[in-house]
Amino acid sequence: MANLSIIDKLKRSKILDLLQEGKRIDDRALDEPRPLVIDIGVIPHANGSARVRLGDTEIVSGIKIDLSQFVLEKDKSVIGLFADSVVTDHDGNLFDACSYASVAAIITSKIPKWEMKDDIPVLIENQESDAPITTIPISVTMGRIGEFIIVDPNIDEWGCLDARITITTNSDGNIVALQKGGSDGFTFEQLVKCSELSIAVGKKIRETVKQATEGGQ
Amino acid sequence: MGGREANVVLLDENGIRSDGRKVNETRKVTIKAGVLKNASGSAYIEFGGNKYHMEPFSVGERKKPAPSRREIEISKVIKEALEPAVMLEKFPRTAVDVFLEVLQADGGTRCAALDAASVALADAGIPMRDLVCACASGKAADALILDVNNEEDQAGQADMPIGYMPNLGKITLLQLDGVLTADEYKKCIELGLEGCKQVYEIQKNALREKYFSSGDKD
Repeated sequence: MANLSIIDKLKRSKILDLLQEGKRIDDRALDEPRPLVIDIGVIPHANGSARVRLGDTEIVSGIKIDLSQFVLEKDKSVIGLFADSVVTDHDGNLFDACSYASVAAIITSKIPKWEMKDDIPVLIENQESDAPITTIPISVTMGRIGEFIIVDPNIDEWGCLDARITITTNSDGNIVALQKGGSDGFTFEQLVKCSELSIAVGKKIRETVKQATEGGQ
Repeated sequence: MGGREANVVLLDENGIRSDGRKVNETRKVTIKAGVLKNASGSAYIEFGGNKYHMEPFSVGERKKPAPSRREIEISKVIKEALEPAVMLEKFPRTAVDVFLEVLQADGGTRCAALDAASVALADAGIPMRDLVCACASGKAADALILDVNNEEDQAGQADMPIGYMPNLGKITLLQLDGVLTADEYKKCIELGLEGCKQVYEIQKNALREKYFSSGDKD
């Protein structure tokens, strides 16, 4: 907050004025995330992939499972799964957009099958299996401007946040990850409100992710 | 965190933790302000009864001197946790550097580092709105616990470091690794804030000790 330019300061006062009337700069409700569009299988060469548009923020995520990263042992295998995300358009809240893209890509990824033959791992063709996914973690990033908590800040709002918090919930509605950022704090009451928002908003987004990833690649 | 098997009993039938503490008890915290002669301000902190020997290069494990991903992350969250307390507007075109050196780690390093940084800034005479105190709470053996140690961090179910400005009632650092229900999340923050307040008293004492020690010591 300390290094705002004149334009940012004007923007902040406009955004704050609107919030006082219960409005946001892009006409969303305070607890309303931007429309989420997920396409899966956009990079056929990857083991899993997804393109996510959260409003005008766009991320492409690819999953690669590298043979050299495999450790194959009897009754025990460890797989290395790499999720690389590329930001193709930035309109605020890369946290959630990247998170949704990686989650969608991982859910739809196919794990190749390798077997040890004479101590050498050999790829078994056409025997891919689904990734063993047990829960769908959904992150919800919220920002505080003045006394207002907004869900999924866009780039204009992002520039003048007092503080940010990202809370991730799993399919059971439990909180599984959390990080506060930004150069100011939250009160206890605000944090409780944020957890409730994350659970409620995350539930809807999880449905969108589920629908988009159903049937796999 | 989570999945790893615990070979130790994290909580016995009497509700006593592996290091003899109760669930709502912090480790022994020692803070000393003004330990370095050539810094504008400095502080030294110990969480727990670990003996500390300064024997560089004689330790069994050596870390590379370049900052790791973890250190970069800790630096970022500590910077953001301290910023709201420091009156930066009093220092236009000025950099305030805070250096933190972990001499021995046994869980809760970011909280201890933040506690020490806050005392060091105050010791340097930098105008601040509040001290920032920090303490972790978490979950191990299905119980909510205060000041998670390394063992509990490794084999426990959740670790939640909290940074707090007690007079302003603002939480400036909050992270979570592990799984908590919505209700546990609330209780965990409340428990952590209790720990923060205890640390705050020790921080104040450390500063009193340095600046008013002649009058206060018995």
